[in-house]
Amino acid sequence: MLLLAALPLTSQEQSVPERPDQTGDAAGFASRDATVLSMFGWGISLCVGIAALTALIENDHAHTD
Amino acid sequence: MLTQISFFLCVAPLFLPPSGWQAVQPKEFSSHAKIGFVGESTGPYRPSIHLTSEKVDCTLKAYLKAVKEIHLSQPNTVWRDLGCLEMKAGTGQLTESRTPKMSILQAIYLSDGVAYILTAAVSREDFLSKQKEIIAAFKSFDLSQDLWSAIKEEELRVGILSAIEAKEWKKARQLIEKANSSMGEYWQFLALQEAYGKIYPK
Repeated sequence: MLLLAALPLTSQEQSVPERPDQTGDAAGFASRDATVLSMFGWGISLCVGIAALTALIENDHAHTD
Repeated sequence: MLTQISFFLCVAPLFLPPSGWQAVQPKEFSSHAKIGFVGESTGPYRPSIHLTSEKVDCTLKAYLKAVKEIHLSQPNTVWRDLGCLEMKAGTGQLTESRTPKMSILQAIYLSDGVAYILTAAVSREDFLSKQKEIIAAFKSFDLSQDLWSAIKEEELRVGILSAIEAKEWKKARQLIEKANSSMGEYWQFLALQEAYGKIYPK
């Protein structure tokens, strides 16, 4: 619960303002994603493990068939 | 919108995540990364690592300048260029940005108009204990001709390609899982994704 409460603050801290694409964006977004990964890393909304990821790949394709 | 790796590359960027780290794909992940890996921690934040890329039309020096500006535009952030890093693919650049709670290490490598960025986030308290395995993962970064040529065992490689051609998903999946011991989970995920896409085209 504490983690969830802290999330918006930290995400905001790492967020990249909306604007046209520019050089270096991949690195900027990567920093934000890495922070989110670390924070969500305790199992919230995660698909964990290669087996689960394989199922996700299969489902993803199935939904678009 | 940044373009994903597979749309504009003939090469396969690969790296070996630290041993024991779990493959994860949060629903909230942005479109720039396909998969991430998280390690264990005693604190509230788990260490993480993932790979992204973007097309560039500049030198490494100019790219680093742009990256620095983006990071320093965030409040309470300190950014440092930590110098050269020898990776399997060649010489890259290691950088670090710090916020009050997190350290974010990035290994940046430019090749043929593409910037590859390996990014690891770790809490300040875990930084010293995790730094070594993160740097080892960064150093494993390599560019392969394609996903399949990276497999050294010819029999296995031929078996996977044959299974894909014959549209035998289960067999292809089993062989890819078999190859995982030497190729690592990042390769495995990309290989499964590509094999599935070829067997069941959208």
